[in-house]
Amino acid sequence: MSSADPSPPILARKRGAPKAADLSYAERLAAIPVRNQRVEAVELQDAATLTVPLSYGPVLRPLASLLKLRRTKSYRLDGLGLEVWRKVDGVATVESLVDWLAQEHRLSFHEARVLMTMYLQMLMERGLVVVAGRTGAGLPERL
Amino acid sequence: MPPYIERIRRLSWRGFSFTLPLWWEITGHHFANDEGQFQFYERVRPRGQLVWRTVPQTPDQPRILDEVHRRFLAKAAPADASVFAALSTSVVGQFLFAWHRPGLPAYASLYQHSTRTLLQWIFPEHDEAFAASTLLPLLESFRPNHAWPRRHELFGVSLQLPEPFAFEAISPEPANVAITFETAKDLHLTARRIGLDRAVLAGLDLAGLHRRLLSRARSRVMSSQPVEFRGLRGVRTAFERRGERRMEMLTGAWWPGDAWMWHDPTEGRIYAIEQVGPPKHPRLEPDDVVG
Repeated sequence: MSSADPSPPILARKRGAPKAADLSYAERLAAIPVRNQRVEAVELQDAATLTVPLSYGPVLRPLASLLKLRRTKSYRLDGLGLEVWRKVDGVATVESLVDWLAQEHRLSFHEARVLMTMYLQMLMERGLVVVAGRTGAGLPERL
Repeated sequence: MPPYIERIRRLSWRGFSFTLPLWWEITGHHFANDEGQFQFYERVRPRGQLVWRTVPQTPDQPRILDEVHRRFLAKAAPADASVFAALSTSVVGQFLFAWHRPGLPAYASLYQHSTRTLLQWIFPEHDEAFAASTLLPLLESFRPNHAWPRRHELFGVSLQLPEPFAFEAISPEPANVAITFETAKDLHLTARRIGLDRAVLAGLDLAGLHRRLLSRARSRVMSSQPVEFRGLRGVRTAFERRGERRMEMLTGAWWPGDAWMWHDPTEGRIYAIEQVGPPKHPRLEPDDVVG
């Protein structure tokens, strides 16, 4: 079935954990985005610069300093992206972020859900956030 | 009810028209030549699936529904499958509504003789109160939609098109939907509905946005002028796009296009209608097309 929903795999997973595509909407929405603690954020009024340390694989790692590969990468967020970043506080679930986006920008629930999961996926790919899943009623557990 | 939610309740497609229950949304779709389906959710709860397909002869609908349910039981509850006899049925509006017992799927079926189309709803869990409050009004909202001009209402896009226009393609990105129709004579009409209006228009005016959208669609923008559409602020843009007929592709001829875009601040949406095709084919007036 083609869809408005690309079902992005927003959850980082450990071996044996279910793929995001295998999870229900409810399970994905209960996940909690958490900022990468190693990210250095410089926030201004209308924008923020986020600097994330880069890590290289086992082949490149010993050569990184020799080749003078850069050790950090910076991203500039503004507008809606910055609003979302500010909402990621390690407490708010994906669902609450979706509800906030839907209400703030007059979107339907699933429009906001797809936009939010796509954006969080992008932040994850850049190493700015990780998304933790909640199992049962217990504490959040990283998938 | 906010107007942007009210608008997505309208569903009119191949020969059928419904008013969806509040908060139901399409989360998946599939279109093929003689069949198609939509999947509906209310937040995280699956609410139903609407399937249509062309059936040359009048089908035995109760038997089909019984068989669908029997197969469901064979997978989900094999012990029940062996004792299952038939679904309970009632007529709701023009539909045959069928159910087994609470918690199991319910079904609704309608055969449209004029278009030889079998229309079937599958609701994942039957619940009497929910059926009375939500499903029955949904089924009763059904209206045939095969007369021309035909309504096309999907993802908040709402059009009324005359006979030569047929569905060509859909791009349902989140809060950015584009649906394209075409005639046999290569006149293309694209309707857009764009959300996040404040963010989109933060660094760009309507004319600039229109120019950018058309350029992305491989068009050459010629001119644009401010207009008003049904009391809303808008822009009308003349553009050109490479011809798609064989000779025109060879000679590199450009087809003239006419596009309107307007901003509905109450709904928080930007709408657009684009028409492009061979020069001699008359364009539709947006006011006649937009539902």
